[in-house]
Amino acid sequence: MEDPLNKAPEVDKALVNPLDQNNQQAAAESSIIKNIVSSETSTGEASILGAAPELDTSLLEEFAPKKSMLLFILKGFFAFLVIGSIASVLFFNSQLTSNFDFINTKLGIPSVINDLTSTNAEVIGLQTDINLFRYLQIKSFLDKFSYDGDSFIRNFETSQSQTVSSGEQAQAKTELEGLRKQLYESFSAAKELLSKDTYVPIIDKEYVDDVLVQLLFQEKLKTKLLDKATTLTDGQDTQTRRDYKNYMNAANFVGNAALKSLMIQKDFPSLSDLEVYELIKQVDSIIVNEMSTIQKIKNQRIKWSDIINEIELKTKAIDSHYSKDYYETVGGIRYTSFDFDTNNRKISIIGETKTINTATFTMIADLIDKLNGSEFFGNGEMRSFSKSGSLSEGYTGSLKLTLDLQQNVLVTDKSTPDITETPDFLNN
Amino acid sequence: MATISRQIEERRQKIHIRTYAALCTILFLIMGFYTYNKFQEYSYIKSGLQASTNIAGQLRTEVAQVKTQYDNNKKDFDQLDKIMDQNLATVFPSNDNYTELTRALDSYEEDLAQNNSPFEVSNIEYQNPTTSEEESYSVLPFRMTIRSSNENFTKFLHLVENSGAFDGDARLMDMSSIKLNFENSGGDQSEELINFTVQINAYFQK
Repeated sequence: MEDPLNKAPEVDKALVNPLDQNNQQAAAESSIIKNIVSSETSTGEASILGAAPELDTSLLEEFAPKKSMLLFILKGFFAFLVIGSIASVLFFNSQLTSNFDFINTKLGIPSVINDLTSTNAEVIGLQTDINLFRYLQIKSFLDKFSYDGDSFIRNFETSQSQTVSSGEQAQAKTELEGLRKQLYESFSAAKELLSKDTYVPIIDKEYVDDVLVQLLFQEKLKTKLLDKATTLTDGQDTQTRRDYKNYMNAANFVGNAALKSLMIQKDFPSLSDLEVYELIKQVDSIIVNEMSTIQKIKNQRIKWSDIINEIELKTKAIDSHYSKDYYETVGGIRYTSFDFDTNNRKISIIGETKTINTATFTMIADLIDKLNGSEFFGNGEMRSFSKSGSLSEGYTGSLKLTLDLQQNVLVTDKSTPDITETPDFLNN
Repeated sequence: MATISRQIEERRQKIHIRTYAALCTILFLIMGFYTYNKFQEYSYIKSGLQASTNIAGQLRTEVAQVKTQYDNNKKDFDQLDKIMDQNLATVFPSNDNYTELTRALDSYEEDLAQNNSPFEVSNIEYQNPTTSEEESYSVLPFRMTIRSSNENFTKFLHLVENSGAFDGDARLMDMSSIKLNFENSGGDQSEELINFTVQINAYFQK
């Protein structure tokens, strides 16, 4: 006989899994069963259902744990990130570097960095072309400025010179007016072109600094001018040689900050004739061409006619009758020889003096002081004095003095002769 | 035994979860940083490209304008170049050209000399031309011996001092030394005459 306690109890569906019964009826039935069980237990009799069956969970441990959904999601997300990363690296490398140029070219994919590079090259080329035409014009306007400036300098010096006639001076002053207008035209044209920017911003990591961009454009312009000149090197006809010279000369003042600064700062209409004269010389000293070379030589030239004139003026201040016509009759100073040495900037003067009294040496000493007082001369000296004659016939002294020419001999502000300062011995 | 395997498996799963979570975080951060930066650069270049394209368009127009301006002025420039070339050939020739200079000096003498105001060049002596390394010109030194009136002496000085004018025809010269002696200083009323020897440098292109 089967032990009813060991036999699996046949239970009502509601008793097998009361948790599955979620309706009210099931709950009522459940309470009935509870009452039965409690009455049986309270009476000490054996339970109808017996002990609850034990679940052997070890059986479940033979199975693998359930796959984690979170892990699955993470793996998926990781894969997504990896693919995204590769795509990102490939995309940005293809767009921002030249590493994948061969693929881009093959597939016809545009690369933003290549497009930028080619656009930048086009921008640089176009701006260089603009600069080329501008600098060739600036060069020509400066040539015109130097050309007219040469006439201006000559006429200005003539107008200031004391060794030319008043008619020539008046003519020179008239010329200056016309030349000023011409100079203003070429100056303002060159100034306007020089004041324009020679560069445009370049979007490039290498050229974030404006100074570097300027240098880049200067270099490009210079190279372009020299390249153009090089192609004309072998040309024999006049126009080709002229163009060659123009390109070379224009290349010489590319990036010449001193010239640009000088031109932009000057307000030509407000300049006096002397300031225009100095401006022309300044411009000529900055630019390099044949005219500036000529002007440089002219600037070093000593105007000996002015020097001789200055000696005569200072002599007249001592000897008011300085003239050969009066020397024999009233005495005074007479020069017999001059020796002008440009290289050593020295002047040697030989002559004689004649006085009716004994003050021959005083006259010479006065002359030395007068000459040393001039802005033209310095270090005038005569260490040995000698004379001959008598009180009845008068005295004759020899004159042999040397002078140094001052470095800053200018053509402007010539002092007028002060012939009122006649020495006392001549007034007696 | 089975329990241990399961526990190991569960633990492994947890480790995988942590590992993947960490990897995802790291990769996300790295690639986020990389992509953000590269995108910034890309955007900058893209906008720069747009700006450069616009600038290029403006420059194309400007090039045409500047070239037109240059072409309009070129005729005048060429004319000026032509005049300057002609003048330079006389004033600052490309070689010492002493024969032309001799003819010019003879011509000056002819212009200045008059019966009552002499100007007589008795000697011209050319020395060897010199070229300095530092300077961009060459020099032809020569010496002249002249007998002249005071008036013509001054005129001659002016001629040399004003030589080399672009709009003139006198060769660029300067005087390095003058030695002069006065003649007729005996007190008569005749014109004072000056005998002078002048050392002159005539310049030409290097």
